[in-house]
Amino acid sequence: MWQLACLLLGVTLCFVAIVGLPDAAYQRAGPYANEAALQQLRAELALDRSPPARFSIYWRRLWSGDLRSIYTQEPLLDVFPEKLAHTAKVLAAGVGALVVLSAAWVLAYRAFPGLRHFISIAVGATASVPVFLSATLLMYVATLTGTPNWIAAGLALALFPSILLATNIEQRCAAVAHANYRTLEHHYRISRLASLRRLVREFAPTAILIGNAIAFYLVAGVAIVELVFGIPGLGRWMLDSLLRVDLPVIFLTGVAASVSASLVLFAANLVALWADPRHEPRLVAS
Amino acid sequence: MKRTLLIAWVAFVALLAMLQPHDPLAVAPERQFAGPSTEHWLGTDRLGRDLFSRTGYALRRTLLQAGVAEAFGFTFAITGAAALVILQRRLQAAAAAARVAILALRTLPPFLVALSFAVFLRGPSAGMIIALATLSFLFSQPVYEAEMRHALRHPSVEGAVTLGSTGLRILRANLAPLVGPRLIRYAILDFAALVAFAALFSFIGLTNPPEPSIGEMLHDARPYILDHPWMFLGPTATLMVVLLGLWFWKPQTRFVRT
Repeated sequence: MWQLACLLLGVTLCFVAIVGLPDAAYQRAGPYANEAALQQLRAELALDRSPPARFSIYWRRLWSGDLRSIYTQEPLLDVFPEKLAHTAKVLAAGVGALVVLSAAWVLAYRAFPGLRHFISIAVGATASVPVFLSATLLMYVATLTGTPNWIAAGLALALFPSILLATNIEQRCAAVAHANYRTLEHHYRISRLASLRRLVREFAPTAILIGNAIAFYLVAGVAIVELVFGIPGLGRWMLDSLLRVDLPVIFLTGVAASVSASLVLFAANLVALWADPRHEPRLVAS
Repeated sequence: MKRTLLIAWVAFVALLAMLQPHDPLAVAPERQFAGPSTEHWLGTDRLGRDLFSRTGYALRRTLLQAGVAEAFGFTFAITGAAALVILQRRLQAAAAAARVAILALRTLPPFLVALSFAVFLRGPSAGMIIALATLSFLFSQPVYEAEMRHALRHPSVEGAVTLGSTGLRILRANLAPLVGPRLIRYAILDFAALVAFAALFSFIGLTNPPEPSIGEMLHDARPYILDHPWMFLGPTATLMVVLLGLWFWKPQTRFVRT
């Protein structure tokens, strides 16, 4: 129930945030436009209406497929699938890179126990590099090596979450190895299935929190890597529209981001409920 | 050893932020793309502006903005977290509604939320501070709340309550030593995140040129990274020195304990 409330409120707040942005008519017409032209443009963009009326107009136009960019006049729902495909490609590369990099970090920890301190320093140093910086550096490496942009973008996106994941896997493995119930299970010869069930229950909440953090990071970070690599996906569309104050595009991409983040939360709670029926849906995310 | 490194790092960053041998805004086309030299330590950019002076100026501005934003964000997040912990005991529905609102705000793209809040107070510095403080609040408040809840369940706190200690005494003698160090650690990491966010906002073009900012300098340097790498390396190294210092100062990652 609260997840539905969160989704509805998120969509509404997205519109409230748009109301707070600078005057789109002024941005569109430029500084030399006269007042009459500005008024006409405001009427066309429904900026002269009250915010609730504008909210309803935007939804109606979106529903009928008539929500258009104020610059290109393209129907946004026609452009959306193409942008989504680019973003999905980057996200898929990001998830793939996340798995490979996390495994690499964990294997490095295991394979070189004597070098753990130095690996930790390397991990810390890598984690502190902002995504726009690592993306810029990777873009030049990709240019020099001929790697496709979307793969390099996925790699840049996965760098920090992989460290988050690998560090947690290591911490959890260490905790399990020294847990009291492992000794009891061994002593009383409890079945492996029951033991596994216990493990899942024990670590489900932490796994959900880390999963949420990674999902939020991927959704937020995709805009930056798309901007750096020049990939025409949803994230870059939103950033470009924010700079140009293209309100309908900001509305559509903002709603899409809010809905996808809410779905991630919902899915996380479903998984938590499946893993552990004692789990209560929580309002504290990542 | 650690303290010496910390002092050296603080001194280095302070010196970098204070030293400006040239005017950071002075354009000199005849000196464009000059490499590092004794006169221009980090070289010059495409308009012949001294990169060392611009980097120092941008760093000082970024640290100031992130610092003020962190102070506001920390204060609001702590107050919000404490209010929700207290509300949870008396007005559960109100606490749940407040949490849903914060969570809903967090599902929105951070650029949109930050920009929208920033527009309420137009101005190159105030806008950025408001944007950063908003992000700080949204991402820190749940962590601080979880920390407070965890501390309230600590045996020493429960014991003090049972023994009838006053609220102020419990706060000073039991809660502050438990929560304080962890909150300060989170605040330092949050400050590092705000420095990175400030650079990111200027990188994507949400600042006002010609005022130098690290992100904008990095963005401008991208086309010249192979021919004039100093344009990229100077600001990158500066940003990394600051972030790495903050990261290794308190190298714990920010997880909510469960």
